[in-house]
Amino acid sequence: MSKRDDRHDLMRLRLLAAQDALSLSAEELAQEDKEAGVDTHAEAKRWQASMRATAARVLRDARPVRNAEYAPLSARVRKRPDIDALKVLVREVFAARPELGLAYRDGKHQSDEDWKSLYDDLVDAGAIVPDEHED
Amino acid sequence: MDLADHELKRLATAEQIRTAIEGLTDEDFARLRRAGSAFLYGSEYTDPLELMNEAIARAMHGAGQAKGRHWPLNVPFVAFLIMTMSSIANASTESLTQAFTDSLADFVPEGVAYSDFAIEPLRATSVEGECVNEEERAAESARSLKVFADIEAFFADDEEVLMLVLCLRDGQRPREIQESAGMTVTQYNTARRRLRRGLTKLGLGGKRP
Repeated sequence: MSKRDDRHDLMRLRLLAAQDALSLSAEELAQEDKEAGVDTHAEAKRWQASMRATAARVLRDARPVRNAEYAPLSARVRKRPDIDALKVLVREVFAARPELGLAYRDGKHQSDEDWKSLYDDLVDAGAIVPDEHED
Repeated sequence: MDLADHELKRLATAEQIRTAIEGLTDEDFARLRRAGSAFLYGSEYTDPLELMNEAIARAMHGAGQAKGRHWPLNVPFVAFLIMTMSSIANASTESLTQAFTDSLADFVPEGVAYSDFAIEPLRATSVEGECVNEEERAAESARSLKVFADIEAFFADDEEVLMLVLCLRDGQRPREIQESAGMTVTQYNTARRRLRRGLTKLGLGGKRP
């Protein structure tokens, strides 16, 4: 038997054991845990918490590191278009992308300051290109 | 929608993996714990949760990427995790793909195409495989041989499990073993259970080949 076959065979043997794990009934699983003194629910919660933490860690590690000097566009000094033009722009964005309207209550009943803030948010979100509207 | 888009939609995103973790039941965790425990012996892992977390990390890294482990959404999450743990425990190389395909027929859930289940999760380039050179592969093979010697010694007094191991090493597929070993369904299932429990004992005993 070749060495490569030994490795294959070991993997197949492990999978045979896994097949048994999949074939166990709920009652058999509970009985085995009981005999081994394992709290099935507590152990499940422990595994879930650990797996959740692992998944979160991978996402966190994969996130690009923000430049320390980065500041959101809305935090910079900006010369917005006049309020009427700004409202038109925001309404156009909501008309083209209704899903954003849901997040911003469809732009209704907002003060001018709300509109300005909304405009800044949409610029930050990339929905409005400021260079096309600001001096 | 082109083919690449279509293929991508069949694979889980990172968020879908996180949601699936939250959806696992106590029973699912109990099965994963048993499978992981049975994979430990002869691997570099000593804790099934450590092996599981490695599987989760590989799956998360693979989500949305060309490389890494991919979870095809039509494959049950538990089965995918078991496959991934097995692959990691076996330090899988490209040469294992066919063996996986041969061995996993019994895992295929009803209503799922075998080709989707057995091949898709393995089609992704294996990080482990890329890292294994010939020297490491030879060392792994020698270790596998030693593991088999230990397993056969462990079951020296259990003829049915030894028969099961021998038939498997003879290249028989799981569904063929019962017939050729002359076992009833019950005998086969209980022998397979003793095999799992024995592998778990070996793996959790900290004994290293």
